[in-house]
Amino acid sequence: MECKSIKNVIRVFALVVCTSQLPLIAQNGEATFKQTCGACHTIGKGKVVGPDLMNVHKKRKEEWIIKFVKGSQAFIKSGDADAKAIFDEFNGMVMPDQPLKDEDIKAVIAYIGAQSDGAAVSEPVADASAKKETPSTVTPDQILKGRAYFEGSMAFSKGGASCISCHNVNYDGVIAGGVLAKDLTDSYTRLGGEAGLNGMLSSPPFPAMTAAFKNNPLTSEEIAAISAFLKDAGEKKSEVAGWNPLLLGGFAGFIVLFGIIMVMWNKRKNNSTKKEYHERQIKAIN
Amino acid sequence: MNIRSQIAMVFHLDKCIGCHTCSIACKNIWTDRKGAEYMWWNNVETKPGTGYPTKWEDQETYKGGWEKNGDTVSLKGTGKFKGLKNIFHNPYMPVLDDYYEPWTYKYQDLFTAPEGDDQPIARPVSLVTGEPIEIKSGPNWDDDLGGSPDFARKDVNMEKLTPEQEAMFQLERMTFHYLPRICNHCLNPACVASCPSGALYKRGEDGVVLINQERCRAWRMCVTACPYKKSYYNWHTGKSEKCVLCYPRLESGQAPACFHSCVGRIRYLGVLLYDADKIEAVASCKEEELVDRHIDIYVDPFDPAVIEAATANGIAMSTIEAAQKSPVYKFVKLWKLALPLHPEYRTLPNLFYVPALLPGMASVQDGIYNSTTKSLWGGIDTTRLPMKYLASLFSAGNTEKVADVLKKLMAVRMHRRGVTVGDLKADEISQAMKETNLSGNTADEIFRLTSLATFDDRFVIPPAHREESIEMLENTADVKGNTGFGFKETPARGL
Repeated sequence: MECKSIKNVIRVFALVVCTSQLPLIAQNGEATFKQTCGACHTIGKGKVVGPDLMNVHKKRKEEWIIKFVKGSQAFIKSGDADAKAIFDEFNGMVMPDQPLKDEDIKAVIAYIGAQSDGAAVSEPVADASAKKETPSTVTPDQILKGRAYFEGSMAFSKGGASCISCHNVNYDGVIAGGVLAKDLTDSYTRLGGEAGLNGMLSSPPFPAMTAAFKNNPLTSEEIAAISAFLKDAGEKKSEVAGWNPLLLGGFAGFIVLFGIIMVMWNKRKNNSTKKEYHERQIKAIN
Repeated sequence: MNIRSQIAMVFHLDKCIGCHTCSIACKNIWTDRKGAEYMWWNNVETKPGTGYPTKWEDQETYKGGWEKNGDTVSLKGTGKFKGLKNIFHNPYMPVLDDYYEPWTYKYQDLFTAPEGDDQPIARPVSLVTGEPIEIKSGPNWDDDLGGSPDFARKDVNMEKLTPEQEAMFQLERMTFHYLPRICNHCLNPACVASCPSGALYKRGEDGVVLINQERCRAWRMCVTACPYKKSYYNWHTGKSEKCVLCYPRLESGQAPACFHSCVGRIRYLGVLLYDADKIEAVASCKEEELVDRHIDIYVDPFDPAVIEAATANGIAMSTIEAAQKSPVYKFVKLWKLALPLHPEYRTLPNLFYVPALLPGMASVQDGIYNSTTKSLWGGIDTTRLPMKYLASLFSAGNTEKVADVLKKLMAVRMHRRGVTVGDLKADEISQAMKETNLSGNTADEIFRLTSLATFDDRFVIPPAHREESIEMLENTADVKGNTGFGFKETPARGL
């Protein structure tokens, strides 16, 4: 009897501890989600870069989610059909591996669960709607500013590294950038437009970028400028991709120049004087 | 009159045995360095043959030398406009294949090869790439191949003589002679005229043509411009190089290495005085007159007016005396036995050749080799090499010039036969002597200088007077009291 009551006490105690911990976990989950996942994912606000995570805790098992978050590529390669399907659905865009602990991921899942179930409009959603409001129309001034930020001719207010140190963008007058990270010429469409870029830049999900901008994040104004610039770069690129009269003219000129050279040096000495008997010797040997 | 002094040369082709000692002497002194292995500043060719570099005489291919242009001459391949047009790519330049790819053998393999069933061999390796190569040709690939279809038939001089040519390729009628060649140190050098950097110059005191290695910028216009192809590009140093006539040896009174080492003693070297004012007129004269007017440009060193003009031009008396004793003066000017090689290139070369007096033609009748001739040696009109061929080499196609020389050589031979053996008819000899305007004494002199000449008879080298050259460049009083031995390590004693 005594023994049983002790067990009950322990159970109750454990329950109390657990429930008292719950809000704490939820809070950690919220912070982690905002910082790590919010750039690409929403809860109930539709697809951005990655899928909407509403009710993900119901669709997938916890282990599955943990595996995917920790190493999506390795997971896909291990032959999981669901993971492959998602990867293909989002045009083969790789989700960066997240160096999170299992507890953190569980906390995020718990947070997502709470958000999916609860009606309360929470911060990230508010954030997402706020992002939607930011530059819907791009002004030339913004593009210019964005270009300045990209090139580093204008410094970020919090002292972050300019984009060009790791990224390249094909844009008239912008010198070739770094090759450490991806080419950003068509990033606007690739990363899900304004919303995607905003998310990416406000809390970068890529490990190198996370580290680089951890202590000196970009302001929303800077983000808007850069995304405007990248949008412009993407549009200009698709214009260039067509017929280019300058290139074609240059090619024709090249051919004509060669023709002139051929005529001018027609009587040049173009063989060794020994060619004839070298060839005869080789024929004789063979 | 603008008298200058020139070191000139005569090669007596009748005496050349084709041993290539001259080429080896030169190679060992000057061109066994990296980048120079393919160069042969001195080479000995077999004629008829294509020579080195292959077909060098074909100026339609290589565009060397000068061409007559009204009253003056202009360079065939380079010059202001043509040079500018081709300055970054000169298609007329010989390539390495036109010379040959130099090689050596891996001799070490003969000693270090492991024991096995097969004899170890030394494989040929390229001196350019260091890789093993299949040897396709060498600098002297046509040596002694005077009747070969690949070389003799392709001789550029053959183009002018189609009907006579066939007789030369019949069995028992094939022939060849050697043609040793070095830089001609021309009076009107095309290489000097062609250089965009002004790196080439003709030395004032003795007319040796040199390339300043500090000013050479590797345009290689001289390689194209020289019709004798005696300027070479060193691919390792990035500078062009050419025969320097062993000027360090000349300055110390020694004959150049190729002259000194010549086994057949075919080479003569000495000073000629010439009138520099006439160069342009002579170089641009009519082709038939070229040889005569070229030889006329050299003046008589005994003429007081010449001596006066020479002294006024700063030529030392010792040089004038050397010119008076010059064997070259005798061969070229007095006896008119020596002719320039390809005068039609209009560079006025200072290397002259006594053409070879070739044996008369034999024939095969009923399987019997018949070499009997009416007279002892046969006439010069029955020489194996057509006169036209020799004329193409030595007199811009003027067969009379070559015939005159050969007649003289024959007359000297007959005269000496009369003196030493006495089996020829006296009137036959005197007829030959009269025809060639030779006196017995002159014939004896020609014989002596041809056959019995000593070292000092063959090479009359003027004192270099380097001290004067140095005084022109710097004041020797400046260094008086300042020069001495110096120390590599400062001695511990003393002050």
